[in-house]
Amino acid sequence: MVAAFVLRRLGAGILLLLTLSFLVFCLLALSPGTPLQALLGTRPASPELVDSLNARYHLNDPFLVQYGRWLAGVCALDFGQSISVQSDAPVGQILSERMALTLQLGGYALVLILLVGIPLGMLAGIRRGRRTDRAISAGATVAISAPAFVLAIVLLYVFGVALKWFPVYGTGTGFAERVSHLTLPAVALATVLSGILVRQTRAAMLTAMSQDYITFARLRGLSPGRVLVRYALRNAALPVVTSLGLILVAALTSTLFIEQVFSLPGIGTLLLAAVTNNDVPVVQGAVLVLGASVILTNLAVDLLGLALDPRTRFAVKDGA
Amino acid sequence: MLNRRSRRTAPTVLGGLLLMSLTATACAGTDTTDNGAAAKLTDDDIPAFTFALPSQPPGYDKATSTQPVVTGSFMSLVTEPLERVAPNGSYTPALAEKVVQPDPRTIVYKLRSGVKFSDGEPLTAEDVAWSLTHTATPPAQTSASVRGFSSAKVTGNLEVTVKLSAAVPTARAGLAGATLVQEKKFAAAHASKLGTSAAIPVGTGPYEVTSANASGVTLTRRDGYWGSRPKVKKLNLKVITDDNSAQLAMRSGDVDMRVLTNVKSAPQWRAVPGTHVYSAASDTVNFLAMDVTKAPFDDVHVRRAVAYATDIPGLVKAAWGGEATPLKGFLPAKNLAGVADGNEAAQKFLDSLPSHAIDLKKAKAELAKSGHADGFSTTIAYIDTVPATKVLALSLQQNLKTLGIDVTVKSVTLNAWSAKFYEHKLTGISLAFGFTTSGTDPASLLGSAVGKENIGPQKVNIANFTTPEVEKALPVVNTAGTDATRWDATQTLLTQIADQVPYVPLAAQDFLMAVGKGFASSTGKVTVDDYFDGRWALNLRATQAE
Repeated sequence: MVAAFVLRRLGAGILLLLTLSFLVFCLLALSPGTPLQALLGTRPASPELVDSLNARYHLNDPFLVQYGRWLAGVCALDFGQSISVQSDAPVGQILSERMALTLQLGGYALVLILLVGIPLGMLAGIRRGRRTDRAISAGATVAISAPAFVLAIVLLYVFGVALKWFPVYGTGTGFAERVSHLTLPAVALATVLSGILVRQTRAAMLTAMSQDYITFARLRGLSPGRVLVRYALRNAALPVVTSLGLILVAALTSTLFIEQVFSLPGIGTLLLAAVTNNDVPVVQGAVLVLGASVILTNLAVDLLGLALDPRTRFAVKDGA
Repeated sequence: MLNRRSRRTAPTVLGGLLLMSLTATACAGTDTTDNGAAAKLTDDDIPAFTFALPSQPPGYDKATSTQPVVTGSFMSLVTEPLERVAPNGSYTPALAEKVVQPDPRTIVYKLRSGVKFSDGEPLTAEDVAWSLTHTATPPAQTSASVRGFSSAKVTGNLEVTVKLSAAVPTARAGLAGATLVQEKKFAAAHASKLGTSAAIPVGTGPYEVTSANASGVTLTRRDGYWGSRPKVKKLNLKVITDDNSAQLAMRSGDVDMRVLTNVKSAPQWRAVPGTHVYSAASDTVNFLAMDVTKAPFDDVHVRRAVAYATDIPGLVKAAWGGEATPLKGFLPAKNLAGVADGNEAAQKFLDSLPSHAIDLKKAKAELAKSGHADGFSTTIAYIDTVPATKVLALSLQQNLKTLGIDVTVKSVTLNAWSAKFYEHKLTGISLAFGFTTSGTDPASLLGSAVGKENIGPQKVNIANFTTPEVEKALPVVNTAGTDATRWDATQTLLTQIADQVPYVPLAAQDFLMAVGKGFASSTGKVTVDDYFDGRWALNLRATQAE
């Protein structure tokens, strides 16, 4: 049953990616500027040079022919070659280099979000209306409202320049160096996004803590830890996991700012450069990878939901 | 004790304080020590030097790179030029020991002997002929900047002869600036991937690329280089996109050099302890253009009114923070010096041209003489990523408003602007920025900005400006000949522009490079030419610790 559900979702995902790629292709064609201009910049150009570049990158082909050629390539797992961002380099190679770093940053930030967001949210939920709750809620509001790039610059200055605890830019080599280089960006990303998780966990805990089974568990004399983890947290987990999916998707857009400020060569900076330069193959490749990440994240969240809450399994069986 | 309200706002206040301390540090420039030209230089080797690039180089082959200047700035240390051109137009030999021009359509390069590529292969005339052809023919990006190239053939053991299709006066300088010599054998074996990180050209230079990825490029000094060894052993080029982050990296000592993309940020860079900002006049000119074939700009009085309403000294201050030189004519004096018998003669002529210095009364009077005395509506587009252009557009909008001219200011991307520029479809008042001229010969920019032959897609005459005088003088400027004749023709073109005002010359933006604590340039300066052809790295020295 679950296998059929996964297959159905994957099929829908592929259709979605196909639509997405076509829409992005249309938008790039409609947007001002052309790949040719990105290649030429403001340097002098001769008619021979223009003809030669048009022929090399098939820039004069009709729109649908260009899309068809790109799609045929993707079906054969060939994402084409970059036009202007990394002229002539295979897009697949550029994406794999960049995506690895973005995933590491996202993973690191996710760990921080989970370690900070869930305990703080639970604490605020349990201590509803008290000083702890108010302090955590105010902190979460500030974190959500803080512009990611401002926070990033402040972190860079305080911990990179003034205290010299962490490197100011770059990625480092080896595991330890990579962790050290990604700490400040991950903290910046986690600060902004954990606010959402804190609020969500708090709300879910408030609902769970007011349920009869919690009162009954307490009456039975169960330990507070057991009541909290086994009864309250498990029942609060579904909305929390759902919001975690949203957070992961939001992380993909936030990395754009974070990567820019911390000079990290991830997928965000690549996408920005590719859009600015009308590098169609690179934009298409990056959009496919990001789209697939969103689809897979949502699928993973749904599967986790199925595992956490038996009631959702019945819904799947019923064909929902 | 904090009340409830103030406790809730505490984190915001903390954030504010941190920002204030950051700003305060960035502005505190009084107690810094400048290690620039006055610093004592040493001959010590420099183990590592880090240069912050604003973006990942799009390629490693200058000829095919979409940003030849960025690629050339470090690849000319790996694949060398035949000769280097100084700002005064003089040539310094590199791989070509001697260059002669027996006639205006022939350039002969006599190559240095005993030079080896980094893979041990000897440099041959075939390598040079291939590199010249590769640079000067499509699809090379550099091909359009080498005008008149016809062929490059091996004519002797270490001799290559370039034939030109026309007597183009800038051909030698163009080839010197654009050509980086690489190994033909390697290039042929990696034709489809040449210039990507998988096939970095092999050269004869003092460095070789030892790593290249999305984070940056590492150049390592190699043994067996024919020339004098540079001091830096390892050159790290790191990609730092954000200017603020680059500044913080220099403050923390992680970065040693950055070319300033926004010259207005120079005071902040100067405030970084120990940092020296080298400033040099550049060939990057900015001007306004008006299409003389379309109303209302087909009326010379309208164009003069716009010129009188343009506050150039104010713009130099507001748009470039004073880091630019106002233009007296369409080109700076140094770009005329080659035909004008020196800088002084060129400047004297520029000073004698009709001036349209800011004067709103004169602007109103000119507009009153035009067929649009009551004003009109027009547009001006600025580039979203070039901050100076926005200031220029807004300033002009404000001044023209007082004349009754209603200007709509629009933001466009660089790519969109370039597309319209080369399609010849710019409308309204066009803000042409960052046009680079080269050397001391006026032909490269002046020779392409006016006249019938320069009107049309992919061509530079966006004002569609020509007159009988221009048509007569233009071929003389664009053809090699005696300096006196070409100077006369150049003066005619410049006078026509100053009088008919198809273009309003604004200013030449200075080239600024910040060099961090402990380093300095041995020549006491870093010019834009030094940056283009790698001399910035060859001239680097460690300074004596205080």
